[in-house]
Amino acid sequence: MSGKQLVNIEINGKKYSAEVEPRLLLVDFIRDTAKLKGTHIGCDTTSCGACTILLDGKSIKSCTMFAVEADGSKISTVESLATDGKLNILQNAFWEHHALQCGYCTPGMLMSSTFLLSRNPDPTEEEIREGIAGNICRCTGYINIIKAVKDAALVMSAETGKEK
Amino acid sequence: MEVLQTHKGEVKAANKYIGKNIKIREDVKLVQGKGHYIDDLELPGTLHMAYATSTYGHARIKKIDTSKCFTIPGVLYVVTGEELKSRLSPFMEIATPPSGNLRDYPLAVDKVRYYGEPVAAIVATDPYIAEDAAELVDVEYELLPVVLDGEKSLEQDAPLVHENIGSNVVWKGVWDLGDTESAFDRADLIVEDVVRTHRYASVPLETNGMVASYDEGSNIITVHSVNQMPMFSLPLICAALGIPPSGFRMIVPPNVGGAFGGKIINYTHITLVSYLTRILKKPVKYVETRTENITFGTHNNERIYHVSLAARKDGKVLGVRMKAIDNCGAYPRYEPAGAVIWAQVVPGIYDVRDIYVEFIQVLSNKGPTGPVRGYSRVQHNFMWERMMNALAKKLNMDPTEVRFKNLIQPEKMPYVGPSNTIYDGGNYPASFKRLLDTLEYKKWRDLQAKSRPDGRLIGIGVAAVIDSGANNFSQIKIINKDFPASGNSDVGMVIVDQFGDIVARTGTTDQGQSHATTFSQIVAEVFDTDPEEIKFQEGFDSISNIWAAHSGAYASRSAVIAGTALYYAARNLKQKVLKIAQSIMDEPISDLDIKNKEVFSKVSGKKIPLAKVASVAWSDVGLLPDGIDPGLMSYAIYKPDFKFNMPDERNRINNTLTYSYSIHATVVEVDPETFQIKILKHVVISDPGTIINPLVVEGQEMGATLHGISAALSENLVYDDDGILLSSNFWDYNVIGAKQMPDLELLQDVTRSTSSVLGVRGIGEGGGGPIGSIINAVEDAVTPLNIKLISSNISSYDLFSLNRKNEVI
Repeated sequence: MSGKQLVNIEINGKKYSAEVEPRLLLVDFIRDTAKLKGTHIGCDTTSCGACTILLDGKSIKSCTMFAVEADGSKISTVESLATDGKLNILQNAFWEHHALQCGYCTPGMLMSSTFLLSRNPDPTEEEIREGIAGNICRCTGYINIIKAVKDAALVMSAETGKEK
Repeated sequence: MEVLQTHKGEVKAANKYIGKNIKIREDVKLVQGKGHYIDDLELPGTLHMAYATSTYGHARIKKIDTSKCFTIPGVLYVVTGEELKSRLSPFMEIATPPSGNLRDYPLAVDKVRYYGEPVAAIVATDPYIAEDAAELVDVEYELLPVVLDGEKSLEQDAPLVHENIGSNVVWKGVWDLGDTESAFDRADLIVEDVVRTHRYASVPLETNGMVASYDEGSNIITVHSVNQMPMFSLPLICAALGIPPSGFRMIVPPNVGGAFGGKIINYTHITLVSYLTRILKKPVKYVETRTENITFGTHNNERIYHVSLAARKDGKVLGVRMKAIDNCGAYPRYEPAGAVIWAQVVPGIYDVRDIYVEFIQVLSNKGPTGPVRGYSRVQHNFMWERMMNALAKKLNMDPTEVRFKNLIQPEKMPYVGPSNTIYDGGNYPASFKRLLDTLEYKKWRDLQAKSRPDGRLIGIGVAAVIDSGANNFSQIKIINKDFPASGNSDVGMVIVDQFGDIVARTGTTDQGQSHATTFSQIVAEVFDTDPEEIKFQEGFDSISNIWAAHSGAYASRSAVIAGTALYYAARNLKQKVLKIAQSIMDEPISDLDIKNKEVFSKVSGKKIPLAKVASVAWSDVGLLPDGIDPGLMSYAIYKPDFKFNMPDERNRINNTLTYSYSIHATVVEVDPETFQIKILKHVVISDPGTIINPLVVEGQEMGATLHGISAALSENLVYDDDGILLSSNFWDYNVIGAKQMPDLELLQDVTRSTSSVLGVRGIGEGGGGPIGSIINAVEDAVTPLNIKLISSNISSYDLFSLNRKNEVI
């Protein structure tokens, strides 16, 4: 396949620059070019959400975008959530509620939930279910994930209150 | 029955760490995306394999032209079944001839037998290139008639899936237990019915994957794979490759993205990448696409039951006769093991002793089957729960009342069933009552009655299922007495290293069951030390880590078998620590104990750190007392005694060690116009035995419930009349998401298992409880429409069609 194109993508604050085939999927750029293996692939039809990331602040499924389309954008992946090994509030809530088992869907779940909470800091249970509707989990039955997101929202709002 | 109570409180009644809600240590790395899954593995120079697959359900391969593949730069090798036929041995079959003679290779040989079967494999420098080249494989087919239905595959003129075995029968057997003739003579009524289970799959979110590499110097092939029964698969792979097991190293990464049974029959791909790496001298990687995973990753067996049930008019079941026809798809692989595994739960949860089962497993032109969560018991449990409802209907009794008449009573525990299974305790009737109270059964019945005149379709269903754990491989000897496996075993190792750290290992693999956390709790209990202080080495490695031949994670066996091995290993090591400490501290061993990584005297209060004992044991060995070898390392291989260890002439055997149960109650409402099914309430009660970590047990129960709900209301592998799979991706094969998952209420009534050393029961399977409770509830809801359900899967479309048929009539 000829006609490689240069793309510049900032992932988790670090700039990555590579010549890639126009058909290279963004998820493969993240996993294989940037070597960030936290973003997973669980299907080939944009169904499962394991590859969910934030692109310029919006959640997208990185298996359904070409890397060239993301040229010039800023991406956040699961690796951006913790600071120096310290879990953020959402990650901590997932741990607290055992909102995962095998962990394969978890990065995508966390990124979808991060996006949800960035838009809606106090979601109802229905809104949380809607917010992660694009993410499949085969282990947990979702219930602990919903609890974790709800709990994270409460902790975040308490912390925001404290700051004020 | 005292003889059956082999283990009374090996672990003291009041445990300190076993049973505690300790947060899961694995979760910390996984929420940071720091797990190590198979697809993350990048060996230098790795080549990538992709399949070209069959576009037909059954066809002779007249010609395969792969020349076009090489027009793409980067394509290095293309292999077809023709080449493999002469270079590999066919896989070993569990069944004896004639079906044992069927030939199974990693790629289709001479003909394709199901839609999506791999016909060629392409190896290229890049996965994109390999997939491009797969499109260029040109296969000339001659279409053959397909057989898709189990009963049709038994007909005289049915197309043969494997001609050389002369029929489509894989195996048949009879269980003639008790005296059904007398039971049927005594009966007030006979209920006859047909029950069918549908085809679905486990579909873990991570598909199957493997990377093989070959070291020419040592002549060893190393495979990293997600296989969940590595030591069972290893001999199959080596025999096919024609290499000694010493030339094959099997590694399972620390993180596997779920399995639920679906990561056992992947040995066909492992064999192929191993074959290719030996030729190409570079690592070869294959990761299934989701479509491939759904097409051939492991389907659940479809089963058709023709049942006659003999009962008294008070609802007591006297006996049951059935013919079960099990459709295992095109290649048996781990089958026909499933043709005997259902017999772990012969009477279900009910006290019925006169049972006759004729079981036939057949081939068809559908994808290969194998273990799927609740393997082979789900179907049988579902049959019982449908028959209980059929009996209730015939007697005009409440379905819960019929069940109360038949549940095994607690005073009969441990209960030796008609096929010598030993149910290991629990109070089924009390739990069932508690479940109904929690559900507010009567309230729902009242609402149902009150709202029917308004056209509302509310239904209530229950299902009581047995969830067997820790299998006895001897059951396979019912099929093949020479099959070289029986019992079960696993290994635990505990080391106090040179610096005083406690390190644990087992032979198990982990697909999300949090073994590091739970196994550390077992070791912590013995050493009376915070579980956080116990290190656990994850990952399976047939060369550099420990294993027993049955090691792995399947059949809800890890806590029961590996947990016990680890407990014994820890206990033995503790004794050695105390022996060495005795000479260092100059105190009698009977006065010494361990707590928080210190050895202390219960009498003098004197204490020394474990590190001090470790230093003497490992390095300062001149100080060791006479007769004590250096090192602090202990391992134990545990083999449970199943009591009825081997099958007798009537196929009776205790074919699993623990029998947890779960009872599900579901309330549904069916929309009278759209026929959409909504779950209004779902309650589950179970007895998992001694709980090691409640978070893990609840997680397994919720996950098993999700699988059941999704199987009953959504997941369905649908083939058209030509044998083309119509639901081969996540849009068509619809697993439920957060919006469809109802809230659950989980209840537990905990009693110790009378069979397992630690009192724990295997609880991962779930027994398919929600499938029965949902189908029963939906049928109950549509009672006014007089719709009869047969299958384990129901959709709004099905209800609409069934209702329209009724209207036409």
